[in-house]
Amino acid sequence: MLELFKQYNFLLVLVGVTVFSASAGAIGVISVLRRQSLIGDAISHATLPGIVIVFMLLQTKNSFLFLVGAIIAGIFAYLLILLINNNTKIDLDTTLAITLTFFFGLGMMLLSISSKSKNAAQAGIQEYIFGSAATINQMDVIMIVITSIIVLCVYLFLYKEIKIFIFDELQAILSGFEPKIMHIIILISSLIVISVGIQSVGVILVSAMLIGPGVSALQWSKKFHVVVILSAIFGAISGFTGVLLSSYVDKLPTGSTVVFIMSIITVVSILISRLKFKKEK
Amino acid sequence: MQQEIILILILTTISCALTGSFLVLRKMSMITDAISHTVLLGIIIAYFVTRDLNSPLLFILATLFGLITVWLVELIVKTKRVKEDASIGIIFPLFFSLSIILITKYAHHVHIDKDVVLLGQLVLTPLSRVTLFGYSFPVALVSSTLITIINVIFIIIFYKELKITSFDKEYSKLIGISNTLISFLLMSLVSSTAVMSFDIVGAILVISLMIVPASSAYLITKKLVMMIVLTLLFAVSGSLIGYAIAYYFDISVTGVISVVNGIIFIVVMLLNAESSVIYKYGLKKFKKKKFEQQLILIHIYNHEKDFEELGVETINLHLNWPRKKLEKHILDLTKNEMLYKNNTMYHLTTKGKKYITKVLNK
Repeated sequence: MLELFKQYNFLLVLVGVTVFSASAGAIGVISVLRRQSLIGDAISHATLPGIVIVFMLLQTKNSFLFLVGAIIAGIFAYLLILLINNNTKIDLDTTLAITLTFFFGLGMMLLSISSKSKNAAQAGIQEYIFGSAATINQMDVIMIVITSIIVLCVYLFLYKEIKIFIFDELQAILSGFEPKIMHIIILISSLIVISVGIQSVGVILVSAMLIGPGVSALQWSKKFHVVVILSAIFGAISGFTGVLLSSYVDKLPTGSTVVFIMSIITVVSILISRLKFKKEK
Repeated sequence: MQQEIILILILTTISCALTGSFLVLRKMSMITDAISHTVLLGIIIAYFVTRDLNSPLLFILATLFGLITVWLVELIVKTKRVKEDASIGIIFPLFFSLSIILITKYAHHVHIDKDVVLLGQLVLTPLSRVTLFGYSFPVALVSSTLITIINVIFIIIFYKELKITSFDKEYSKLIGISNTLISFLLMSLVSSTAVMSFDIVGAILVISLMIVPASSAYLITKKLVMMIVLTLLFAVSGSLIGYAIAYYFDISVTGVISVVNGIIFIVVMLLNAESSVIYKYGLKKFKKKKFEQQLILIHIYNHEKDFEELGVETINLHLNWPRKKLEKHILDLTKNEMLYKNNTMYHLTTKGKKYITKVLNK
């Protein structure tokens, strides 16, 4: 077992996925509490065209520029969601389905255009759909760490604002700060987290890492700061054990294993809390 | 072969769009996202049991998994510990991650491919064939015809019940229509349609076909029949246009049709008066202009023959407006023969006077 820990590549993947999962868990709590968890799902699907366009322009794999492309595509998706939501009678659920299919379809279309050029790096970009943790390199880990520092800063400096923003938007306006700015800060930080996570977990399942930890943590505590910390811990546990398990067992996809462990933690948490709830009654 | 592909595509489109319109009305769109991904687990498990990708067990088990998904989502919501959006966001990754693990680990190099899940294999559908009544048909053509017929029959038989339960649950209870039963039937239909279509067009296009055309139609009309007709129209034309483009440029059919559906929706949204941003912006500008011009006219009406208030040089000070803005309006009003300039003062014409007394309700 210790042999594995001496391998530099394995350590990179382990640290990268664990730190990513923790920050995704922490930032995801906000959207879970605001009942907007599926926005993360729509936006993470929507990052695909951004990544593919960057790839088509550069013809090589550059994690940092992929991140930029993903964030820009995510912002466009969010703007489309806002446009539909503010101007039509269509509900948020349907809006998300429309945005998701439009952007992901665009991504698949562009991918099929770019695959005509038969570039060797082509395979690398397809990994973004289902995720491939093994390809994480030093640069990716650095970006993940920077992202988690950003998330940490958002919580440290804006803790009170976030709390008011989640639980009482009216109070937020009354106490003199614009909810719009909070929206943007939280959107951007979630987007960055999603974008750095895509490589390891994949476009389709990355949103699970934002929702699962938050839902699990909410089963154990009602205090906001405890929920955020627990959520990060749950995320980290599933990231850590997921990477370990997938490197021991042959042919186990890392991203999906991490998400699967997370989902199990969530289901067990809900069951336990349900039992406790029944007993109290 | 080309005709067969187009026919399969159209039938798949029709059956998806038909069931989808009721999902949009019931505000359950994201459940299709979950279903279209989770049925994969049913397909894989059935494949492990039968080792045959054409076994009907695959279809049955996959449909069952779609229903289990809906049931679990509702069960979790019922615990009151989790909201519905998050509940979908938990169940779908649970099943989908398990599917990907099973595919990667055990079904490597078999026919089930991760990419097929997303893209479908429309172009390959004519290759697997079955012989019926002495003729050879693609399997997908038979299955999509069957599912379309089932969908159409279901909607015709339960049209009234579907309509009432979608729009007014309380009323449906009062007249004795079980919403649970109708919901269950609809979900079974959505699930089986998703399973059938999944193989042909892939998970993403299933969602697009079910939700997007119906949403475009929902923007325009308030009548259910009209909505269904428009949904079919948008869906079929979207698929045909998308297929033509994809065929011409030789790119992903699934991707292009999803994009075309999205574009149709956005165009409808922008052109439709009720939801159009362009229209709203234009209306706002128009109303503002009208209001400002009326203000000028009222000002002149109130201060008739007052040299100080109405002088060409001084009027802008009294209205407290920038000179440029005022001049633009005055020019416009003069053109419309509402006012005229005389002795370096503005006066109302008879037409202007008539108009303003009407505005002031005098």
